[in-house]
Amino acid sequence: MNPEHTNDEVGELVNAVSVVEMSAVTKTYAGARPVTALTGCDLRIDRGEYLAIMGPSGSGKSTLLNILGLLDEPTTGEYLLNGQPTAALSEAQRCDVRAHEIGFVFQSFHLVAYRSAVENVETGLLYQRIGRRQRRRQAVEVLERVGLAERMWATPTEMSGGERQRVAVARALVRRPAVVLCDEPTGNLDTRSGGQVLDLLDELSAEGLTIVVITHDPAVAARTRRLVEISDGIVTGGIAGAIEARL
Amino acid sequence: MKRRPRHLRSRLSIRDLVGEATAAITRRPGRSLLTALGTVAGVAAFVATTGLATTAQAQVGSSFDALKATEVTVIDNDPDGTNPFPTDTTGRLTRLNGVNHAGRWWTIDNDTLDARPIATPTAPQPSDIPVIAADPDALRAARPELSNGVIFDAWHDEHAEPVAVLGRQAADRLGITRIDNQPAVFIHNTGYTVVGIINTVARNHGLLSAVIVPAGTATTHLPTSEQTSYLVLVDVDAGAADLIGSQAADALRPDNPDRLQPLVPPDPRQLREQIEGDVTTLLYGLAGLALLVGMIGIANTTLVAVMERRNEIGVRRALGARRHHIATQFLTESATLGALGGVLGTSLGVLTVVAVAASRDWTTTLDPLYTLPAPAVGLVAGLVAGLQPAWRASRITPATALRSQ
Repeated sequence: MNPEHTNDEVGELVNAVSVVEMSAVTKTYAGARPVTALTGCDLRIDRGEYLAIMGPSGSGKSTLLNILGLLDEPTTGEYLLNGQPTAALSEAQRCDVRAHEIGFVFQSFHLVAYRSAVENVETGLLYQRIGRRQRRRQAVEVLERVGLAERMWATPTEMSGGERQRVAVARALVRRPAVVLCDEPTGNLDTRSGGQVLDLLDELSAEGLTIVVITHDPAVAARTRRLVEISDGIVTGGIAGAIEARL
Repeated sequence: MKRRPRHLRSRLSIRDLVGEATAAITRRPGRSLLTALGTVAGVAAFVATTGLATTAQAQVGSSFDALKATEVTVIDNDPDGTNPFPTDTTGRLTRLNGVNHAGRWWTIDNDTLDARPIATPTAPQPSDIPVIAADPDALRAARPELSNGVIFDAWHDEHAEPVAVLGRQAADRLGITRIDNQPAVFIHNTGYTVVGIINTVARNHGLLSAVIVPAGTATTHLPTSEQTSYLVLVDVDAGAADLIGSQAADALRPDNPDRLQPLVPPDPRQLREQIEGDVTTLLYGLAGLALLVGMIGIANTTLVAVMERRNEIGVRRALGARRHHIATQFLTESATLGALGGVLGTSLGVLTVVAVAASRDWTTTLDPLYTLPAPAVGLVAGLVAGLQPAWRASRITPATALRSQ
């Protein structure tokens, strides 16, 4: 670090590259017997990283994903997304952040069944201030990028699982998010289709996209460039930080 | 945290909202139809019942013709076998303003009657032909049209002349077709010269099958019994019925007006109001009930749809939709479905009214006050019915919704 920089400048420099910064994040679900799903989680993800969060089912993966994606709030601890603290965000503001900065890819695709592929991708831009034509143009571009230009007008029921997941990736991609969160992206796919989706993620990562893959499958995790393990709500390797650490 | 810049705020334009709702409706036509079915039925029932009510009312108005409205009958409240009406009934009543014709009539006891044509004394005799005694003006009050001859007149009446007028059917049965040969009918072995044959009457169609003799003649020559019921028939100007009804008893029997009871036809307006009061309230009640059932249907199917579309809701929320974006989308869908159901239901309702009216030879009468806003009623029904499901949809948390496979 250059000693000439002031503290503030250092902070900005750090924020400029870190997309996710979690420190001591804990999540406890209230109830008759409170369940602690996440304990003292530290996690830093830099821009352009391609990492896997791996753990068995019930380890707290989904909780971590929900918090990362602002679908849920931590009970304690701090979470900075793109350098901005998220704790004080109102419900509506969390929607704003989700609408612009996070892309989701789910295990069961979660496409809107009665809409065509291109319309599903457009949904990724629906809640942004983008006009109809612009949405269509971007959606078509992204569908071309994931190799589904031909299948633009097919509905999810007319598509294979692999195609559906590529549409879902396109939907996440179209909004140019700060980070794409993939929850078991190959969980519902056969090996070949799953491989195609992972190939696509590899390519996108190579283009500089920040991708987080949550999985229980070591084979999927092995495709990424950094591994964070989670077990019983405790994250290990969350702060390894540098890409080289994995290599 | 400071407010995010405007361009980074999540939003859903009205155009996009309508687009999303339209897609949800048109891409799932079966489901949409099912959802709208309740409103279709409700609005159709509403339009049909109100339409049938107005059509039926108009029908009452038109079938309730001038003829009925110009007829007053006075009956004997306390029959004792004597004639309660004075001999100069016609004079007393026609003096009243608005009376055209008035006179007494009664049926002579059948058992003692033997009316037969003189020309065929040995033929089997029809004895069931009624004999009616009537003032000449009572006959005129029935507005007769004669095919032959004339009606007996006051002179015949006063002098108890043995003359008779035949109704068309009675004349046929008696074999009398012409009067220029001065045919006669025998009543109690007395010959009555037929002076006229009535072809049609506008009211009191019983006259057509009867032999009618002057009241004066009957009083003098023919028997009466305790069962004889005496009537006065009055032909009045349109609109005068109520007034004449209130005056007739006093004019006829100032000594004992309570013995007489005038029967006045119900005023068509009153009748219409009465129908409005009874039937229409019931119909509107049924229509409202149907609409309510329709709303429950929409609410129910929309709620089911919300549950079915939990994933979609979760995804939209994950993609940045705010709670109110979800709520307004579902509200728009249910309101649109309600409006569509309203249009469809209005069409069905109108068709029903037209079909029923056609089958009854009625004129279809639709009140635009009820028909035109019916689609709007559907819209409001859809909106109201969608409130709860939309609220439920907006409360779905994305994390839970997306967990379900």
